[in-house]
Amino acid sequence: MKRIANRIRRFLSRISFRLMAFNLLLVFLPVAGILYLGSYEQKLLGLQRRALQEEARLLAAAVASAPVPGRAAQEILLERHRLRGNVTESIRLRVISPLGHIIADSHSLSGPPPPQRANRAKRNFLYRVGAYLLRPLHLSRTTEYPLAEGDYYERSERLLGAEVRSALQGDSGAVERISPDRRSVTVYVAEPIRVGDDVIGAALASQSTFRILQDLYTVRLGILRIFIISVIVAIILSWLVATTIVRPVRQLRLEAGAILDRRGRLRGRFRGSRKHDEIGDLSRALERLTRRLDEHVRFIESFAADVSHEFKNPLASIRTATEMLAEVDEQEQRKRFLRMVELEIARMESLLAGVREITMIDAQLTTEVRTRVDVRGLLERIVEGFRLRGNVSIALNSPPEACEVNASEDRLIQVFVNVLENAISFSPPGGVVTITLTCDASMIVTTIADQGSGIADADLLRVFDRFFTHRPDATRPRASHTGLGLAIVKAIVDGYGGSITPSNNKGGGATFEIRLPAA
Amino acid sequence: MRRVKQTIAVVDDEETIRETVAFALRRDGYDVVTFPDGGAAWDVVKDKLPSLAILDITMPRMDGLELCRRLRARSDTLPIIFLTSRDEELDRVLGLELGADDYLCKPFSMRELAARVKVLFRRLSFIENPSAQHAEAPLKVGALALDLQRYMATWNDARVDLTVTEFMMLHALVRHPGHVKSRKQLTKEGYPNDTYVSDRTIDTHIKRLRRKFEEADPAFAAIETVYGVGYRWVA
Repeated sequence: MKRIANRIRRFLSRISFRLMAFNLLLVFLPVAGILYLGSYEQKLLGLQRRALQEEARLLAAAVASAPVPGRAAQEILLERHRLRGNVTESIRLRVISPLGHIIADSHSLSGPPPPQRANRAKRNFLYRVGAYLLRPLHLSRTTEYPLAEGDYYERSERLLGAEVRSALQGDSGAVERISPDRRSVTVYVAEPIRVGDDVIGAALASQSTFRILQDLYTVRLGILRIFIISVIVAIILSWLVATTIVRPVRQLRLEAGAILDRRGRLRGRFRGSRKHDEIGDLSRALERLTRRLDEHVRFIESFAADVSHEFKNPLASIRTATEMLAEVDEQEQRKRFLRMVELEIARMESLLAGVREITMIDAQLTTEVRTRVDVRGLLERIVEGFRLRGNVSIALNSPPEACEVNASEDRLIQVFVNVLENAISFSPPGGVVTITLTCDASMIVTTIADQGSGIADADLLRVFDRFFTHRPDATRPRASHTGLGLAIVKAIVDGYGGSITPSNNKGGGATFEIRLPAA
Repeated sequence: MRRVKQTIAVVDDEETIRETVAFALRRDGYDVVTFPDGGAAWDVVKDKLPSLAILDITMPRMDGLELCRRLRARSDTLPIIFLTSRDEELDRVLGLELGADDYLCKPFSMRELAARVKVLFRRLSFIENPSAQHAEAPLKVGALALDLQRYMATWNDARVDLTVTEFMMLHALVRHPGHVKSRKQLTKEGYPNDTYVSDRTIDTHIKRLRRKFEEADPAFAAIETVYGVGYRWVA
């Protein structure tokens, strides 16, 4: 039971179903129009009754004021007929004696009205289907018509219907009668003809609603046709919308389901749609997202492998050194192995710090506070700090004006110090490291050139790889080189929207060019 | 015992490893020469081959693989031990069929390295001096015979070249035919001194063992995989 209810709820909440429902609701507006026409019909009947009443009263007044009621009636009718022209054609006026006999009849002047043509609109198949479907809404109204036989007085000698009798008794009366073939309603209105206090007869006006109703039915049929066409169009539109919106969305959902395997790992990626609509955009965005995620997962995996690899070397050293410690008694040797262990531990610590640094850079670059930093002043201070170290001299060529970038000063110091230390470590004793700063409106370019052995062409692209170290003269202990310095530099420079490129000098040595966007 | 001191070349870009390995091997009575990279080593050893070589794989200038290839071109019998620091690296190296005699994963135990060096020299002396008598009868299981002293295996009397690690794993399987050995047990047998290797590495060794026996006998099917548990020898 609950499952069925859930299924229904899911079906009802489907976008395609809701689209269809809205479209159909829109289509039902014409039906409201039909209902409104129903009350309009009622109003028209009321108007007609009032018009007939007026006609009957005028006739009654005219007859009453004539000196000889009997003869004059026919003349009055003739005059009215002439006056009203075509309008009276459909209104039948009769003057009736107190006993119910016809004294005068407008039909005898103009002849009977043309026979009622079958109402084509009403006989239409569509109309009958619509009327059948809408019958519950009309029930209350159809009972309002008293069911009397059609042209009520056609074959009777004396006209003594309810309205005539009430007129002969001094009140006006009105009755609506449905024609025998039930095609139309005829409205009868009778008014007393008074001379003084006496009622000397009745004036009867009658008119069929045939024409009015026929027009109404035609309008109704038109609306019904529009309704049916609208329903078809609504269904087609809903289907079209479903195929352009719902189906691609469903496709996306299937792809999303396929991407994660049972254990929740990324397996594939969104294929990305070529469509140019919003769903195409969404699918492309998802495709980019999964590609980025995939790259990230790969990055983390290879990073973990690299890190574990890098830790294995110092670990191996520590392990062998400690094993030797356990077997050697000589103080000198013991000290030597202990020193090795210390060095390797220091190396692991600096490795850890570097790893931590490089994994944090991305997150920190997005949250750090950036200020305008003058690169010229910064370089001057850094060079000043380096002058006291070692036997490599540093030359700084900078323009007279300040060169500002939007950055964190600490990060920039890290960039320049790392590259500078790298250059110094590759410099021969007595060598010169040349720093050249140039800036224009958009770019601030710093080059740092050394006189060392340069970089092998095959390694030019690899120098920024994490843990890449290549030191042909491995005279310095490895503890000071984690192979992360330049990788960190590149991560920072990239984060600032800049670039760093290594190249070899013609005269020997390597140059790093750091380009940063000007503030 | 040894009349001529045996020379071992240790090639590793890690200074500490070079030093401790050299120190330990010298204490065991070997002559040791150390080199920081393959290029420096080749410059020297191409003129005078050492008795045994211990090579790191990732090194600047010339890596261990290239050096191994060059040494093999000069001598078929020179024992070579590789030091690797990644499982993937070991897979790759094993796939290359370089003809190394053993592989140790970093961080390795110095005792283990010393034991392997000893085994390889023992094996070498047998190859160079085949008339030497067996001190002990070999372990025979069906077509397989294992010489536990010289770490050598024969299948239908044909010699199958195994690395020391492969030999020790095979011995563990053969000792109890029909019994399943888990990967963890095989790790312990292949690397008795607590070297950490992953299950995948064990699978790679077993794959290599099977291939070597299949080369000797295409119908070889004595090593059976027990899914989810490990391996067993079916006689």
